[in-house]
Amino acid sequence: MACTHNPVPDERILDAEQVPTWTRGLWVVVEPFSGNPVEGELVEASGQGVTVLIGQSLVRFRPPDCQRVTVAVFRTRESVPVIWTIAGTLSTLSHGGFLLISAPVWQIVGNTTVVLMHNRPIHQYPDDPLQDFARFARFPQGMPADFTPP
Amino acid sequence: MRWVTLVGLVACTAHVDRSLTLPINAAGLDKRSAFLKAHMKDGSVYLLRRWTVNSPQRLVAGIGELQDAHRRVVAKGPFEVRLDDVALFETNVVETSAELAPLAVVTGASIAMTVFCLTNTKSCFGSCPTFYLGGELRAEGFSESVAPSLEATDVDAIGPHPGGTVIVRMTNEAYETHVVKRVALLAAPRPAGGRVLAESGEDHLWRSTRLAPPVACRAAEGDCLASMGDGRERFSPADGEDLAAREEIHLTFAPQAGPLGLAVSTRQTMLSTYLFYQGLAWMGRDAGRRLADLERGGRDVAGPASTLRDLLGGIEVHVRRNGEWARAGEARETGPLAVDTHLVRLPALPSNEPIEVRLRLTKGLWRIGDVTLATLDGAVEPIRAVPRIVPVRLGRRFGGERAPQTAFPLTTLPGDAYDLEFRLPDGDYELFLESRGYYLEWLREEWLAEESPAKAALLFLAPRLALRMLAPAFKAHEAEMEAAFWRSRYAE
Repeated sequence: MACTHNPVPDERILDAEQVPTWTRGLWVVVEPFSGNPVEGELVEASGQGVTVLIGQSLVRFRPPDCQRVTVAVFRTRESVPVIWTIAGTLSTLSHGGFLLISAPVWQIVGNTTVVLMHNRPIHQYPDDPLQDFARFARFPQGMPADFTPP
Repeated sequence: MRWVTLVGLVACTAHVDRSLTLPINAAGLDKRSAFLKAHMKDGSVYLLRRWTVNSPQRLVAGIGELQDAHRRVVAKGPFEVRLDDVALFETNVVETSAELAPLAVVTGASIAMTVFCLTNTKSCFGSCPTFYLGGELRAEGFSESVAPSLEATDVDAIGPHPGGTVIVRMTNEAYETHVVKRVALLAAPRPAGGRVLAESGEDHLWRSTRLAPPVACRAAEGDCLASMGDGRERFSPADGEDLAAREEIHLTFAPQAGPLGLAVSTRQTMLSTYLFYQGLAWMGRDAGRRLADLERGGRDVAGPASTLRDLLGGIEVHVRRNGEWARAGEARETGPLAVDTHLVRLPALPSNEPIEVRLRLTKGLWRIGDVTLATLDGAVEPIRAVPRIVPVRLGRRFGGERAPQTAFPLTTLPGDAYDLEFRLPDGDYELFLESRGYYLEWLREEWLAEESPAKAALLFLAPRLALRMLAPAFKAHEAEMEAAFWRSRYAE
């Protein structure tokens, strides 16, 4: 088990408390098979592809174009389990010989927790199908036919 | 405080579950979501709080705002939205992250362990020089020699062996400094089908070809025959009001020809270790001065320590002779680690009558394994072998600039290990390990919290009363003390 690569810039990731009132699409990073990664607001997603608002332009990506598509739904605080694990491991110094058992337990449980927390908010194509990304788009129901960026 | 801070951090570690629901399923919308988004067919969205679903009228109602497809606010206020105009509903439930639950569980267990070790330091970290044969703990050396002036020789039975090369591993598994002046192996030829036994408190080894277990055993708990021998250890809990309280075990053996001896395989519980460490804790910073005084011949520690030792006592062996109990001797070995077998010679008894033996011992102080009646066939002179010393390792934490040693006296620190390689002629032997030296207990910082000149004075001036006073504290942790002790050996 390892941490999933997350290319979404940290400043573009919402705090969990912001998500319920955020009415735009979440920030998405599309890494095409050719060319540089592009990023912007996820406007629409379906099995046929994703539409991303990049600046004032809507850009459509079909599945064959996408090597990887990533959305991070909310910001995690991995520092919490990291600090917790370090403090817990250090506390085993008070366990005497028991630390031969308790310190590895802290490390195993702590590191597993850090990885799970890191990975939880990340949704990534091709591990997740593109239609699942509709939940995080501005228009989960599909983009209105007459929609043009302002 | 650290843990309180972490608990606070948990509350800050949230995650979000986002769900989309078709209008036809509006009745099943997740009510835990504080806000409801109604995505309209034209791309606009209602963001509603205090929202409700009116299924019969096919409406959702709430307070909030309407945003157009560009997410500009076009209206605010209470709204009623027809389900038929809605494309999708979106709910977002913010919850505390469940990923942290395992860490919380480990934290609870870890705090419990810390509290246990800080409040029961007398059951953590303790040991004394330990000797292994074939990876199995067989002996602990000179456990009572806690100062240079108490240097002593200890002989421990370590079992049968076919001779040849015998490698005994000596380790330091405690926060102690061990000074080992010498170690020798005593190899006594074993009679066919018999044993060689070391007489308690004496240098004599005895050959025996007839060893018989008891036919009856009676103690306070009733029949105790099934609770000792064949790997089982008979043990009774300490008295809740007086740690020096005694108990009796009555054993009956079938008639057996003499001369006779009683072989008792035993080790101590954690009680003696607890009392030793408690004494050091109460002396606190004054412990060094008092032990130095002991080295100068002072009696202010030696006297009370001897009194305490006598109050706890060994395993007294009595035999019934002419209708009366007569004291035959005592089996005594300090230390909770390794089982040792002691022979107590019995006075002449009629060979055609059952033999009744009474053991008198302090409750909760002894674990008794095999007890056998032995016919003694004569004394035996052992072969004495001295070892080649092979350093195995120096403890990493306390290794420092020290170099491994290859000659006695060996001074060892926690984590050190040496192999003692003996060579014996091939044969069938009963082996005994003779070790001489002393060790210095390291005063633990956490013990200083219990420093109490008044209680130390009580221990020295009225040890009998101190044993009564300490009984409740010992009883509170007696059950888990031994398991904790074994798990807490110093190891690298």
